[in-house]
Amino acid sequence: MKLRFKFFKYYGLPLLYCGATIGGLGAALQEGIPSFTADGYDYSSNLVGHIRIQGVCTTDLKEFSCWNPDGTQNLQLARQAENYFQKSNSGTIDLVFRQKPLLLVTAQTGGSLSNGMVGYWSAEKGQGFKEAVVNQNWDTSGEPGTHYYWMFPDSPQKVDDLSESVYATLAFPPITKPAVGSNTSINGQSVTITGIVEHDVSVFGTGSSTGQGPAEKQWQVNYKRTDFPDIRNGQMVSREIGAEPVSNFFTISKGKLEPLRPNKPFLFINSSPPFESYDDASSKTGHFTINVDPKRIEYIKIAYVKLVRVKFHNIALQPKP
Amino acid sequence: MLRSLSARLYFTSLLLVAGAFTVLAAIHQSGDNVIRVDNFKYSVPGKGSLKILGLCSTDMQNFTCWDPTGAPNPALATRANAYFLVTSSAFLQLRFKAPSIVMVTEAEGQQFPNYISDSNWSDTAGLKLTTAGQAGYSNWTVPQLAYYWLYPEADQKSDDLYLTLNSSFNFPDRLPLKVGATTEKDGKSLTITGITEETITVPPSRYPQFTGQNTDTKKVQMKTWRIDYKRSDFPDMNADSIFSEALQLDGTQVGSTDINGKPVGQGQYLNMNYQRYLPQTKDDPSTKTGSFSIQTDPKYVKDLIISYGTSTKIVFPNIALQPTS
Repeated sequence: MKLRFKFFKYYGLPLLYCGATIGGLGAALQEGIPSFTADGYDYSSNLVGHIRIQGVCTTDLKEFSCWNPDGTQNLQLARQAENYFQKSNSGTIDLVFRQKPLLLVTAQTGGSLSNGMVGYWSAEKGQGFKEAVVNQNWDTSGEPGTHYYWMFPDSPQKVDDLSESVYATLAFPPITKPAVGSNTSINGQSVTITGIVEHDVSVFGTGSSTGQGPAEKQWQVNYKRTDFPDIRNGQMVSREIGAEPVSNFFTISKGKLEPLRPNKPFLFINSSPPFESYDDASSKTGHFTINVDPKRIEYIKIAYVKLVRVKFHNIALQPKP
Repeated sequence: MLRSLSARLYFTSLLLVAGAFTVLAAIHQSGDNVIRVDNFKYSVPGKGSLKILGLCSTDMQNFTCWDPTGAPNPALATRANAYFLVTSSAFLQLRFKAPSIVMVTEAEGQQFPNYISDSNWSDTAGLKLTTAGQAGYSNWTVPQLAYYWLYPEADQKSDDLYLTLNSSFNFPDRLPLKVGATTEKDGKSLTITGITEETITVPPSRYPQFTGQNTDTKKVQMKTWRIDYKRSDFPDMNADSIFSEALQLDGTQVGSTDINGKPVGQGQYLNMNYQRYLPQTKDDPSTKTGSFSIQTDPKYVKDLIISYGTSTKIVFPNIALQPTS
């Protein structure tokens, strides 16, 4: 199944992080991924949080028609989808010529491990989706976020089984005033900062047409860790940095913090220049880069990426007559 | 000397359309580098043409197409249906409760690149179009169809569409790298008036393939050479677009250099990391003087090849965005 993630157009910076974490989608469907089966159309666990199938819709681009996962009509969901896509009037919807578009709508909240998780769907049986395009109503306040997934099943008449593979992140408790020797632990796993090295780095694509860009500062945070048996492809990441003022959303301009949305509490997430992290499983050491001066950091959360799969069965792909 | 790989690709692409604007007979011109076309077709006699075949809308099952005049064009609808049916990568990029139409163009002839990017197109509002794909072959002997999504206002019946094509003016002769040397073409000339060694400070790279170590935190002193010039009138030049390519003593192009300006062998791409800091071309149109910089020590350079960038805006006026009933 090919997947196309379209949410960069809508959400840009916050999802740059997600883009990094889903970089290896092709390798995602591997053996050994922890798998869980939903109870009905809900799944909830401390691991991945709460995923609820709200329903399925189709559209002629003038209006939406929606139904619950059991096939019964859901007018409220139709109005919700229309409202969402009408607000997204600057964006377009990628649809497939002569294929009935179906929109899977879910409500999701992160669990203890999945702060900002990224999920994608696939069919358990048959040909399943020909394409899936994701629009996500990303919610940053902890309330359930509505996620929209376009799908084009080859056999729209049948009721299919779907599963969501969720890239979740195991987030350690925040380290306040991070410095060499700072430590955080959860469930017997721990990370210790062993060094913070300042770099001047060059930035691509922010300057003239010749690619010349300004130099920016980055800090490489070195760490050692305990054994993480379920770490995925060495994807140790810096997840969240609370800087001054805490709980704001920043970008970096020539080494200075600039609030992007002054009145909207959110997290700072690493932006360009290229996101970088490195983890060596054999030595249990690694590093990640941040572009906020550690002196200005109130706290830092770090995390690593893991993948789990949640299966849902008997989702109606057409409404009951 | 090439400043970067991207620059190399950019100017390579420019060469594809170089010369397309040297023959502009039978085309109306209004102002510098703005060409308004008749009959929805831009032609360079003997070189090729680019035509807007028509526009289409879709209900997701079929396309309905019309000429740029608004007259129905069912033959074009058949082609659009076939293209979107068989091209798995060609999505319908549609808006909810807002019109989305496809513009279909046909390019013919070797003077037109096989593929004109959507970024070359814009509407009156300056909005870029979105590429839906291209039908044809990478062969200029076969007409190339290209599809572009266009998003007009709901009640917009027509619009002017703009195609901006970049090209380059190339001086044919090699310019010896010495003060007083001159290159000329078509009454245009450029003379070197000074060569000055400079040192600039650039940040280190954290990429080991460039620096050999991943923890280098020291700034780097890099040598560059500023070439001052005076020129004749270049009325078609894009600002600050003079570009030079350095040729070594044996006549071959300089590939990479180290930070001291010495050419290095293949695989040693040290300058790829630093050349972005090379001072940019500065040109003063009032005095017709300026300077550009090279990263190769002149003692290794015999000649320069000089070119500058131009751009031309092709206006396709009054394109029907809705069919006439």
